[in-house]
Amino acid sequence: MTTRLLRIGLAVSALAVGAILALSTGLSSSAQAPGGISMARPAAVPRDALGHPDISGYWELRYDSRNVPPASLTQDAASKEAEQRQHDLLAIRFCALVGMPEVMEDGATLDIRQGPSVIGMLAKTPSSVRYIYTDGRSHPAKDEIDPVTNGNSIGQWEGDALMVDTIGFSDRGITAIPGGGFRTPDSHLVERFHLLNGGALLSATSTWDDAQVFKTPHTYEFRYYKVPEISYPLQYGCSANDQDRANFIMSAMSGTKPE
Amino acid sequence: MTFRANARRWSIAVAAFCLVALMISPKGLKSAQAPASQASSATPDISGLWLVHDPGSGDWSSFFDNVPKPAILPEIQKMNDDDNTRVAAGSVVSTGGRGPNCPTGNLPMMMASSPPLNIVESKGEIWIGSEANRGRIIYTDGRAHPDAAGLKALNSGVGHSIGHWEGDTLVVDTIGFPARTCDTRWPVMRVPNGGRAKDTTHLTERFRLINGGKQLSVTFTWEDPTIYLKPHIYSYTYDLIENGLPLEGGNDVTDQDLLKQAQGRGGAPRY
Repeated sequence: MTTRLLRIGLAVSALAVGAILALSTGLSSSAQAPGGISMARPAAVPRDALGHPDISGYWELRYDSRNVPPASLTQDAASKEAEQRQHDLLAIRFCALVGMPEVMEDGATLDIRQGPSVIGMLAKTPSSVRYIYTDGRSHPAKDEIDPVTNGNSIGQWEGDALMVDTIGFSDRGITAIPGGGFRTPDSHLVERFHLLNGGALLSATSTWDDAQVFKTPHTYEFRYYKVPEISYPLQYGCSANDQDRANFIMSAMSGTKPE
Repeated sequence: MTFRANARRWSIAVAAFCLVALMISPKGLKSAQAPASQASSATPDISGLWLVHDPGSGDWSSFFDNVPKPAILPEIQKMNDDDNTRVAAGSVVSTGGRGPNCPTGNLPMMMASSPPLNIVESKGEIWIGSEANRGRIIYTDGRAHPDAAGLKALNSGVGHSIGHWEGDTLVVDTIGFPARTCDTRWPVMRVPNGGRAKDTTHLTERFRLINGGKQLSVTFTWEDPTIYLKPHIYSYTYDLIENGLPLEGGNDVTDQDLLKQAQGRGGAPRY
């Protein structure tokens, strides 16, 4: 009887140790694979009140954030590159609202805030706030849409990925697209946002479609790093009446050195 | 004590340890807590495009002043009289420029203006813009206001705002208004119907959805012993523009005709 009780005690303790080990292994963010190679397990990402991943935060692009292949441009688009460059320089020179896709890569911290019905994106460069409506609405009818530099964006969650569909761009602001080409009022942009590394990285894959500009849809990916608190996200100052600044910018168009 | 009794106690102790270990594990703790969604979804979502409800004032200035008259100090009344006299004499255009040291934004004017407010509410911040423009950020993440140096560095006409929910009401506390603006007509920021706001002013706003979420009520309470004899209180109602989309103002800066006009008057095209 004594031996039997001892065996029960040992069995219970073995089970306890096993359970605790299994539990702790399961909760840790990484585990050892055979051969000692560390296998990263997906860490939990922050989530909003509706259970979707929460992409709110301050995000920045770094030197290793861009995966941008060259775009395959139509002959017409290739022939308009100089014209488009002049257009964009004028927009910069006169402090115009830069619009998409410049707001997503202006070099400064991008502030993203996610609510249950709308997601806002705020860049530091002179620009409108970018709104992505996630309340289930559709795009307005084509004849009712008021083109704006950021376009009209609607989003929906597919699992843990936010799919954003944008049309209705104006022809103003900085129109250049990473990798080549430019947006037009007929451009269609599809973006896929999803968090990586437990929310430390935000992947944004953009696919531009515009038969006037691209032979085939042009896709590239940015990976933003999450940064902690920043100073008050003020907009950069911009004075269109600063003649020295104007000369500096516009001399690039004529190929001359700034005066 | 017999070996048998020891073994039984040992088994019970190990089993109890297992139970406690499971209970205090992160997994156990997580399941014991209320889901985050319950706490967050308890606050109303005031996101949307909101148009200030004008009862029919006739023009914007009349609407701006269509609130109860504040009780103000005599020196503030004199400031109002002097400014009004100057404007009545024809000084209707500000000549103060818009240099880099000028405060940007104007909270009391933005909250009263005809372009609709565009609100994005998230967990830690609420943004209030005017149409597609950027505007105010109300921090709801529990932070405090910056210190005096931090407030001065903001140099913002919308001050620094922090907010919290009291039931279904968002209570917003704002300080850090600029001592002076670059507007030569009104060097000290104007508040509806004769009030003023400056670096010593404290604003409390109470935002609440009404009429089933079709309207947003905002009550403003301005306090400053160097301006007001008692708190200046008034309310606005905003109507929801369902499925509304913000418009973007401005001219095309690449328009050659506009560029020629701009060159003709030595400035930039308006946009």
